[in-house]
Amino acid sequence: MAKPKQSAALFDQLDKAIQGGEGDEVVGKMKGVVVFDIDGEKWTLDLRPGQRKVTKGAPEGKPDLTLTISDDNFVKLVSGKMGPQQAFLMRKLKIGGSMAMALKLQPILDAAAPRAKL
Amino acid sequence: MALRELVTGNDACTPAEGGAGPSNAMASLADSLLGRSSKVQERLRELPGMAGAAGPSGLQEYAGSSASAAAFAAAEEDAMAVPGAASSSGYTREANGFGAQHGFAGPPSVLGHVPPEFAEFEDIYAQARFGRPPGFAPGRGGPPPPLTGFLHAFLESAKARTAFQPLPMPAVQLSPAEQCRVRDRSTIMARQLFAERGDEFADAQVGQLLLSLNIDPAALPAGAPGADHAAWNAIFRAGGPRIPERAMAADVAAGGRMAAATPPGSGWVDEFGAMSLGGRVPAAGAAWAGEFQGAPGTPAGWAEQFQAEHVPGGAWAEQYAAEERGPGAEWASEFQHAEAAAAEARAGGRADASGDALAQTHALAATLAADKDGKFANSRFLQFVSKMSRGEIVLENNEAKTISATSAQWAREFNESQAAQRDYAAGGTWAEEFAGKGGAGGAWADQFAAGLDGGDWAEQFARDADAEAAQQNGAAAAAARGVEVDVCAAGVYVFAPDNPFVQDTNSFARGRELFRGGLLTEAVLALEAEVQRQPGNVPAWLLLGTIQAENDDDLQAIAAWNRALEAEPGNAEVLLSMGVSYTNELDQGRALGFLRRWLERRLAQGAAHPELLAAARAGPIDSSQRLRHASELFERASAQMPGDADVHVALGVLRSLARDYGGAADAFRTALAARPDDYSLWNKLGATLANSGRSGEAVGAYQRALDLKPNYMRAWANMGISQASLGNYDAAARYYTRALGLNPNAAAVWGYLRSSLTCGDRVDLLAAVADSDLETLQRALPL
Repeated sequence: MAKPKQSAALFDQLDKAIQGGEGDEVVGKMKGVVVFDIDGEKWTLDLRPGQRKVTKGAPEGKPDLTLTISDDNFVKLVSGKMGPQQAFLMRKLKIGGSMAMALKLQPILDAAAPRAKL
Repeated sequence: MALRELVTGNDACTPAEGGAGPSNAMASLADSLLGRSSKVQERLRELPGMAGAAGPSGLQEYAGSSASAAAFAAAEEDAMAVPGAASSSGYTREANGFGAQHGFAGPPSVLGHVPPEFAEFEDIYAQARFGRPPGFAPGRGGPPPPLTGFLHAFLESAKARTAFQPLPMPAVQLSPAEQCRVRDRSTIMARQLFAERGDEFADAQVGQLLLSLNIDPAALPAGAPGADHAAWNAIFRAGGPRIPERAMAADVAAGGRMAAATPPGSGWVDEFGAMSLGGRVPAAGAAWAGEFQGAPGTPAGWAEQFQAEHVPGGAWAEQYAAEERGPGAEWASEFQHAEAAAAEARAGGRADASGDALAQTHALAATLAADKDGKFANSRFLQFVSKMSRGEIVLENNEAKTISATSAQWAREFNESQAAQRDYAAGGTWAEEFAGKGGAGGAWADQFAAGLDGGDWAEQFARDADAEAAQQNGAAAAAARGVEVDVCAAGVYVFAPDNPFVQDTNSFARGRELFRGGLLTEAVLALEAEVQRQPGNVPAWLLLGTIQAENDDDLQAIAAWNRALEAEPGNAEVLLSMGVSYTNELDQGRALGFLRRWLERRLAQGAAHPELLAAARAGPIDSSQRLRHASELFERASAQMPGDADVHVALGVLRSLARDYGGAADAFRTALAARPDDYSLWNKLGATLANSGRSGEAVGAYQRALDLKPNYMRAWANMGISQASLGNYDAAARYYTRALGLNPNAAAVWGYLRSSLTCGDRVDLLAAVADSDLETLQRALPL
């Protein structure tokens, strides 16, 4: 099914957020490369100091953390309907790599959430 | 007789001065039939072609322009001293009474602004009377040319708002029949022209005309009902004191008959509807509209006309009917023609009518939305009209049909072009272009650095190619280069294709009107047409940007404001708005730059805080300190200028940039204390609360914004975001749908809607979202 992924817009938002002022907070807590695997589509979050960007596709090197989740569940994760722990326990979220980093996921999800405009 | 007394308020039960007020049952019935409520009047006035301003109803204005006029004024004062007696007609009195109670400044006037249609009317009038003599005066041939001079002088006096100055009498003999017609026609015309002054004044003017034409009204047979013979006679007898007699009673009687002749309620509504739809013959339509507007002020004149058409009987009506058979009846038939055309348009199915009908519906929709009563603005009727004005609904065989395919197509195209635009802006193209402008990239950076600061700074600048840094580094450089830089930053404004307002030469006024009415999408089109025609119109660009921001499209807003800044680099309003929009776009650097430039501008105007101004001009010591520098600056500014609401707004924006949301909310609340009706401030407060996780409180603030401006698309979308973060996904989807109904081009909101539908387990509607099928969504998710 070639349904357009909802996560794309969320990653756009995330990209803007971490490149803007909020990047400091996210990067301060989480330094490294995170890969989201959304229904087979990979998104790379480079949160290393001096990098700070979101790109579509797999990273060049080995990621520190890989999160595998479906498009719909990623939306629920970002919108707060489902917590990361809950998703993990329900096996909707698969975590590969640094578990310590995975526990600090929430700021990233917050940054990807829609922002009210002034 | 009893009815007349009841109407005029001369009966014992009604207080003499309040007899014409709303307590008078007959008067209020006439009111509702004639549509003389202040709201209806306002709406009528806002319709295109009805540009008459509400003028002062001062009766003494014309006094003193001639000796005889002074005599009338004196006589008038006498007359007015008699309570309840008819110094003016019952209707004008009534209008004044209404005005006094409702703050409505007198009946609308056609005087202040004499539309070109009057020339047309004049011609018709002259022709009707002199050009082709109808059967009424078969013996006479061509017109007596000198008479046109009189008519012109008469009309001029109307335009100049002065009493008619008698002209020397030419050697012309008019037959009694012609004299009758001169008298009757000029009475009708005078009552239209001097609607504002009341019938009395009109009668006086006619009297003057008759005098100068050497027509003795007393010698003529009875004229139109309601026309004031006594006044004419008096004037004819060289300005003796005027004793108004039965003018009022006759007027009222005419009005009563007219009321009886009109089907209750529906008549006016039909006519109003017809007018708004039936612009098929624009000149005639406008002329008719002008007449219609004039009518409430001069119901007597209008009523007479109406009565003549509907109630046969009476000398004047007979004469009128007789004329109607002749070729001279153009004026009357024009009126009927316009009505017929309107009826046709209403019945629909006329392709050539639909274009004008569209424009008229625009106006209607704008007018309805302008209603302060939120009920109207939120009503389905307005939505319907609004849709119709966008061409999404067409009337066909009396059925409303929705065109969704084309609009959806259009929306897609727009989204695509917009997306392309964003890619362009987001990509490095800009940096390249900028570098290209200044010469070869590195060379330019070196040059720039050499001229200003240390080399280390230049490296940093070259690395991130941040235009903001240029602004931070010395006000002069920023001022010189800032504009150019910002224009490149946000990309070019994207115009909508197939703009229906392109032909409209009055598009700026139209745009403002639509904006006030809350029809943002239409207002955008009108303003785009304006700025395409006049790219230097700063207020138009400014408003266009504001509307785009209210439509939740910050990139377009920024692009529009850039054009405004190009034309006027220091516009404070633009600078502050840019700061807000870049904050929304999470572009901290540019947001800070614009806020600082705004403050600099604001301080430079007052010259009261030199040390602050110096700090603002100096900028931060390096770019990493930008936020701290700006924060300190604005904290000091707000402390020193506690009464300046704008400073608090800017401080709030700055604090939310610094993610001090609590402080930002405080700043917005302080600003709101000074400007409680600023809907955008309520939205800013709401958004700040929402972004700090206080969505529950945010909802209340958004609601205030929406109460003040029901078509505030951004607030609807923000409301959806808050509902979603509260977990009310169903409510969120409804709010998003509402927002998209106002601006279907908001790609981000479509995304939010999909998220909410996913989370709210309404996956059945995702297909509609994918197809941008708003209609289905609106049906499934009514608010």
